[in-house]
Formats: sequence, C-alpha cells, structure tokens
Amino acid sequence: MSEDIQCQFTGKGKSYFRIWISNIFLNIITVGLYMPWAKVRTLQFFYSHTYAGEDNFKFTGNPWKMFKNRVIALLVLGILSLCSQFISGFENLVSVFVMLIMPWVIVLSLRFYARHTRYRGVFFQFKGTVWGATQVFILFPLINVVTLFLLSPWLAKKHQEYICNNYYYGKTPFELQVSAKTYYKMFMFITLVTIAGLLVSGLFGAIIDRFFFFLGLYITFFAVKNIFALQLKKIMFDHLNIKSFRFKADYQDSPFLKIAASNFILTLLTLGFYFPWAKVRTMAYFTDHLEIRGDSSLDEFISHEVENVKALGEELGDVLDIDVGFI
Amino acid sequence: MKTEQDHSISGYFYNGSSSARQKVVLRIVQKTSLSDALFIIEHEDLTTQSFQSHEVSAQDLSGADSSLQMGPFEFEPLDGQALRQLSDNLDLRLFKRSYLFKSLFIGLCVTAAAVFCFFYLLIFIVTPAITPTIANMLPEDILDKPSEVSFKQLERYYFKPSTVFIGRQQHYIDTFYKTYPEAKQANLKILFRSADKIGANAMAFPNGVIVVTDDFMELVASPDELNAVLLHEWAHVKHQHALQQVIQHSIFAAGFFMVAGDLELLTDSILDIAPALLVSMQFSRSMEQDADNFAIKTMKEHGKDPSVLADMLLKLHMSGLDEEHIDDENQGLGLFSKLLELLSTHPDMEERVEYIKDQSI
Repeated sequence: MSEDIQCQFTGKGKSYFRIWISNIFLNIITVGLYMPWAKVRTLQFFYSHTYAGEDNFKFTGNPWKMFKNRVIALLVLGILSLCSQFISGFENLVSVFVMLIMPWVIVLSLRFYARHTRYRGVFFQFKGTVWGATQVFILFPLINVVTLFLLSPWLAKKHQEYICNNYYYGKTPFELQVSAKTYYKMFMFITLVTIAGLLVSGLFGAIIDRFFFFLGLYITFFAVKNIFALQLKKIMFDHLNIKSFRFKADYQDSPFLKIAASNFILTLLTLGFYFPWAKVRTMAYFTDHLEIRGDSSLDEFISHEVENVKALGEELGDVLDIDVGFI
Repeated sequence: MKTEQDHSISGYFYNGSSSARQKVVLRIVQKTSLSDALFIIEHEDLTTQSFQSHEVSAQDLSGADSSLQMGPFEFEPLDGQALRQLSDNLDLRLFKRSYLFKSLFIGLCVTAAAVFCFFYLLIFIVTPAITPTIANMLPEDILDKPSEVSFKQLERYYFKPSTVFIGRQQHYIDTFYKTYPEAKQANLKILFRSADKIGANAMAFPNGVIVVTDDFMELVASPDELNAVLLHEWAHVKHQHALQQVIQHSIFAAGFFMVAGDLELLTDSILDIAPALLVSMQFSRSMEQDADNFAIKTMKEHGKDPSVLADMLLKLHMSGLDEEHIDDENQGLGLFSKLLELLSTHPDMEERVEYIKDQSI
C-alpha cells in the first residue's frame, strides 16, 4: 500500500488577525501576564491548521504551567542581572553561567515543544542530550570562528542532524541522512548570489546615485537571508525520513522571494497590521509545498511512555530569546 | 417534556498507544444540564467507553477541525465542524470562547487605543517617574567603566593632541574654576583634543571627563562662551543624564517586549526602530533643556549674561551646516539625513536659542 501524503495549511490571515489583535490587547491590559496564553493560542492556531494528509497537528501545552515557569525564569534572570550590577566582576561570571546553561535550556525547550505536539493521537518526543547541544551550539561554533567560518556549512549539517535525529514520533525516530557536500554547495550558491548582488548594487551606485548602492545592498541582504532560510529547510526535508516515509519539499527561490518581499512591503505600508497575513502566507508556502511519500501505513506508529518534563527550560529560552524551531 | 437528549457523531478514535485509528460513534447523552452530559464512545465491536464531561476537553482551534481529548484518548469527528455545531446546539460549552472581539473593527479600534494609551503612559508618565528612583538605587560610579572604555576608543581612533597652546588651555580652565568655584568639587577633568572627524564639539562622559575639540575652540571668542558650554556639559554629568538614558531605554525596551515580544514583530520588521528613535530624541531633548537650564541658572547666580550660551549654540549649528553642505556634494544619501535633521535639530535649535534669550532678559 502506498500513501502519498500532501501537507496543507488551512489557516486564514483573517482568523489569525483576530487572535493576534486580541493577544496584543490582553497583553497590554494585563501588563504582559497574558503572554503564555497568547503564545498557546497562537501555537494552537498554527498547529491545528497544519495538515499532513487528512489529519492536523495539535499543540497541547498548558498556559498555566508556562506562566508559573515564566515567573520563575524571570525571577532568576532578574536576580542574576541585579547581582551583576552590584558586584564587580560578577557580570563575567553571569555571562559564563548563561552560556553554560544555554544547551540545557535549548534541550528542555525542544523537549517541551515535542512532547506537546500531537498527531493522530501520538505525541512527539525529543531525546537530544545536553552534551550534544553543547557541542552543536557552543563547541562547534567556537571551532568555526577559529577556522574563519569555513566550517559553517558543516555546522549547519551538525545543527540539523542534532535536532532531526533526536526527534521521535512516538517511538519512531526521524532520520536525517545528508552529506556535507550538499550544504557546501548551497553555501557556495548563497555566496555567489551575494557577490552578484554586491556587484549590481555597486554598478547602480556608481552610475546613478549612491542611494541605489544602499538600496541594492539592502535588497541583496533581504534576498540572501530568505533564500538561505528556505534552502536550509529544503535540504532538511529532502533528506528526512521516518520509517519508510520520505519528505519532499518543492521549495523554489523566486516564488518564495515574491511572497517574502510583498509581505515585507505590505507590513511596512500598513504599519505592522499586515503581519498576521504575512505570517499565514509564509506558513502556507512552507506547508503546501511539502509532501510525504511512503509505502507503509500511517497506522503503525507506536506511542512512547509519556513522562513529565518541566516547561521551565522552554520559558527560560523564551526570556533569553532563544528560538530553535523544528519546522 | 423531553428530559434526555441523545446525539451522535461518527468519527475516529485514537487510543493513545499508537497512531492507528478505529471507526467509532460518539454518543452524547445530555440529561438536564451540562454537568450531567455523558460522552460515550461506541466501538465497532460493540464495546463502549464512557466519559464524564469534566474529563473531556476541546481546544478552540479558530476554524480548524476540532477534536475531543479524553485523557490519553482522542476523538476526531469525520466532519470537522460537526463538534462545534453540536456543542453550540446543545450548549455544551466545550469551546470556552471563540473570539474576544465579536466585531473585527471594534477589536482593531480598542487595541489601537490600548496600544496608544500604553505607550503614552510608559513614555510620558511611568518612565520619567521611576527613572530618578532607579538612578538613585544604582551605584554612582556604575557608568565609570563604560565611559573609560569609550573614551579610550575615541582617544585611539579620533583624538589627537590639541594644537591649542598649553598655556592657553590652562588659562581657560583656570578662568572657569575661578568664575564658578563650585565646579572644583565636581571632580571634572577638562581636556582639549584635536578631532577632525568629529568637528566642532564638546562632549561629557559620565565619569566627569569633558572633551573640547580644537574646531570648537576656533569658534570660541571669549572665556565666557567656553564657560557657558562647560556648565552645560557639567550639568549632563551632575544630573546623570547618560545613566538616565540607559535606564529609560531599558524600560522602554522591556515595555515593547511585553507588548510585541511573542508576536515576532520585534524581530520580523524594522518598524520597531522608529518609535525607539523618536523616544530617544524626545528624552535627549528634555535633557539638553535641563542642562541649558542649569547653565543659565548658574551664570545668573554669578552675574553673567546667559545669552552667550545661545550665541555658542548658533555658532555650533552654523559650523555643522557648513560641513554638511560640503558633505552633500559628494554624497547622494543626503535626503534621509536632511529629513531627520528637519525632525530634530532645526526646531530644537531655534527653540533652545529663543528660550535662552528669553531667560537672559
């Protein structure tokens, strides 16, 4: 039996706009206390409108728990930053401390999101170790700096492998099998696009006006940033499989750039009010162009024993502004 | 009268142990009130599982297909919208609320008003009220190290030894302290430096270092003029303006994060720069005014004419315009800076000069 599963995003900009606007309103009148609820509502909206085949995803995080942990996380950070203000030399200690606990926070955060994502009655889980995160998020980047960033593509590979290969749907692991060559090719392409963009901007700047040089720089930066994000996702999905299911991402640079550029311009022109539509359009592009091919049944995934993970790491990550998304 | 209602929806049942699903029928038996409703899952093999209404929960999914969660179990109706309709018809209140604002337009207006009020309160009432308190709580020398670092950087890349004759430098400093003896206790360190890239300027560091550039000294016609500017810079140090600005920016950033933090607006668009820019301009304006006021007051106390400060400001402004004029000829990006200048310096400068002149009479 062969099943080709088409992914689809069914959310509408207008529905998200209503959630978004009431989130802003409630955040303001509760002086920010509403934020965990806002976050849960937003995630529920995006998850439940994401379909793989006939079934949608569900986010089951509990805002009350997230609220409590947010308070604890904020208190810890507040005390730390107060201490660093008053005790000289303490600020270095604090930054070292924050750097050391960062991998732990990242792992807890990934675990939290995984275990609150449900698809066809089965939860996901993340089994990455703190040591693994320390390597990927601290050690390798340091080595990369020493080697003048020549290892950046390899680092991107390690990063995606760490997340994907530790992700489980129930008891079944995801597998990312991809060569470093794929990443190096993509980085080469990005470099070429950057150089071409710089040359064209320089030319316009020299011929017409210096203003066009800066405009060209900005456009180049915008395009490269978006192509890079898209291509990274494409590489990940195209080499990802679970059991006999393979993912296939039909992501193309120019249609995506059109969406990104029009999103940016419309958000700017509407003073930010287009933002919900922009976000929905981006999500829809990523989801609608994703397909899962396989020759076994979706019924065969077994659940794992669900254990309790504290949401503290997730909230700490939130306060520290860490975002390590899977999709 | 009918006291017992019976409704059924067909759908899929997930038992929580695997992704396999079974075709089932959900029967909702409602007796008299919501608390009595019973949710019965009827399997194809005729076995049943029943759940009390408090064991059952549903998410508000804003238009997406809804399902029911019962502990580890999940029921997914074949028709995604059926559950919502049934819940509405039977008044089961499975979905706690749909939208806060029934009308989108009202929601928009109320939210816009709330955002406006919030930032108004934050910028004009809360921040000015709590900044001095926080500044007092912090140790006085908190910015000494940062100002040393930035001074060293300027010293390395921008400053050269002054071409102003040392005797003349000392004469100016002596005159300043002689005219305003109270400044002696302030631990100021007045330095003269040559800095072509910076142009005519006088700057104060939070640790009490005041640097006067050679280009600036060229504009100075009398010790009184220099003294007026030194008083102005001293006020910046004395009233901890730099520290206040740091605190104000932190409060504002925290406030902005509170409203937009989760909404990705902060990272996804450049819109956040604009308000921050406007606000910092607003704050630095009030601080300039404060420093002007201090200088005026001190000069008056010593029987000096404060209008020299206005003269100095005008001279500085004119020299700045000259330089910009030269710059514009080989620079196409003048439009934006001109626009910014229009917004900030012009009215500000005129206002300040007029204010000082008014005070001098």
